[in-house]
Amino acid sequence: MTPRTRERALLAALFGLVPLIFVFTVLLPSRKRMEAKQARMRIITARLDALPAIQPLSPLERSLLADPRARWRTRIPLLVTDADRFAQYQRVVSGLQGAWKGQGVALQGVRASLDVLNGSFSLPGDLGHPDLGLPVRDTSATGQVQGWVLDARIGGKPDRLFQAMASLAWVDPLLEPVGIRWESTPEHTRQFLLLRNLYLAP
Amino acid sequence: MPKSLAKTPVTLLIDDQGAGLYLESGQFLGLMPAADPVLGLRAAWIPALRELVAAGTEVQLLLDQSGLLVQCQEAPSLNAREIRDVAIRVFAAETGAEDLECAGAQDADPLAGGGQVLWLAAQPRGEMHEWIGAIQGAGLVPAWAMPFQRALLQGLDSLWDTGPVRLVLAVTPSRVGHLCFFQGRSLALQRSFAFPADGTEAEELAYEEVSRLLQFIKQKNRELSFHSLEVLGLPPFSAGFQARVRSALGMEVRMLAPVLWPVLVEGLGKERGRKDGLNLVPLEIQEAGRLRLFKGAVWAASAALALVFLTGTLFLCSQELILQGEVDRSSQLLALRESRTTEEARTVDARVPLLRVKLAEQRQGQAVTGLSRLGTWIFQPPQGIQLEKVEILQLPGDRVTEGFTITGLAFTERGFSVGPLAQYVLDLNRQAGLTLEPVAEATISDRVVAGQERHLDQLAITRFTLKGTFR
Repeated sequence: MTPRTRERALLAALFGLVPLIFVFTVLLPSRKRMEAKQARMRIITARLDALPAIQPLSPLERSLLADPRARWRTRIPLLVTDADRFAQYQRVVSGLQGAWKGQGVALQGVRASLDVLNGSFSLPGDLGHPDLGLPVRDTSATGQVQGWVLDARIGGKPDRLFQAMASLAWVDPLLEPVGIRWESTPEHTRQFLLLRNLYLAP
Repeated sequence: MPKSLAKTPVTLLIDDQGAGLYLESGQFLGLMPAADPVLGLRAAWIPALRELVAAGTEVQLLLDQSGLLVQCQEAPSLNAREIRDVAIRVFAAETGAEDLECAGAQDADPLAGGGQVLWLAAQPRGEMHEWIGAIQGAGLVPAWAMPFQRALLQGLDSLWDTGPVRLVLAVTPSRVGHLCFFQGRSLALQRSFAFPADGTEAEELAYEEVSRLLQFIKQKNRELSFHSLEVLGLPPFSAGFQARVRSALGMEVRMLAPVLWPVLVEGLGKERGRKDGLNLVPLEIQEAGRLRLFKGAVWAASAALALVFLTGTLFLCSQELILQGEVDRSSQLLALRESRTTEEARTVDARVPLLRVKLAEQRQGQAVTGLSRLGTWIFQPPQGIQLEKVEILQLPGDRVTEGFTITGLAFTERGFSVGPLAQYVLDLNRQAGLTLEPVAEATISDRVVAGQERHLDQLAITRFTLKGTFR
């Protein structure tokens, strides 16, 4: 091999083989690793995007959740047994009467059904002490929300209806007004406030 | 004596007087000593060269000694190998000697047969090897070697062109006079002689040499005519000399350059710039030089390539590191977010009942507000409307919406009974969020009995039923 041929071979190796070696030993493996990293990055980004954005608890919520005697715990109670349902019925009716009595609203009668209970009665007078100290189960995260409607007959003119609604917030069992029935005949005038009470069934 | 500037080529002008070393500027560095009778030329030159020139400097040889053979021929176009072969054959045939360093070059000349003039030169190999050996021994680089005549012709190109036939008198710095007859690109005839320093003597010698040469040329070719004598390397001749030449020889004396060196340097540079210039440096040394250059280029390219690849590798590594850092940070963030999410999920579980109660209370408030507003509007009818039955019921759906049905009577003591009803409907329709359905039922029984206008009560009645929604 002449020096010129040897030099040409060296040149060919230098400018042909070395770049090839670079490509195959450095560039392509690096590209492969980069692609793997980028794929991992995409997966991480997708998982991050998929995570729900949850608002942290506010101090008020923390205090409410931490208080075992907070009022909210018994507003939508868990009714498991018949006794629970009877107690709930008692709480609603007596609670209503107690709250309305203070506002000068007369609860004249009630018509409702809560599971096994079917109630339809007039209330000519006071029920007496409304709080019998019956135990109330706390609300729950797992129970199924259900409701029952109570027709409360209210004496007086229609303005009593509005007064009765305004005082619902003070009744411990959560009662949502869902309707009004009012009728006036030459013989009598009747007005009913329809209230829905929510509870949890197991 | 001053050393030449590093890497600036120096020129060794070798003639029968000796060898003088010059810078490109023409500055004379020194005369090479005579060969040592025992140790030879190398032993004498090497220390002198080392003293005068920095190592690694290129040395150009301008050959003007009598041992040099120069010949021009008309020829067709030849390649470099063919030119060299021709030179070897021609000088071998002429001298019978084989130890000659031969070289050639080709100039295009339209006046020449074949269109080319072939310059051939030969130098005894022994002498050449001694010079080259001395140069290399001094750590210098033998770059080029060419005949003085060739350098003169190349340098003349930049000066005044007097035509295809030129008679040139050039005197070297070592006071050797050359009377050259150039015909086109060909050196047709040449005489060399020692040129005296004395002006009168020099003019006399010049006149003799010129007239003798002209006589010789005229004998061979009577048709040739010379119009000028071009002089280089001499101060202007006297007016008497010029008049003498003009009257006796019929030629003008043109003093082209008082100093010959720049012309020679330019000619040397021009020849070196040619791809196939005439170079008497032995082929193997030229090859070695080219190889050295090539190796240098290869090493430079290798270094550049290595640098590029190294930079590329570093860049790729840095990119990978940056990406890896991002991946690590994102992984940590994901792990943190996932752990937080687990905690948050527990928070949500704990919060659900509270949220449910809050939502129910919120809905309770909306229902109370909505029902109160709607009831207020319904139970405040205009005069002449008597409500009989009102039924408001919340419609199913997430948003609190009330549906209502109103049954009643509209009546007037005088006039048309639907008037109050129209007013009632208009009032209700004005309330934001309240939508009345088209009246499905309105029974009108208005009646006026003539002569009983005072007892109109209950005689003008409209029984109606209104339905609608409120949200």
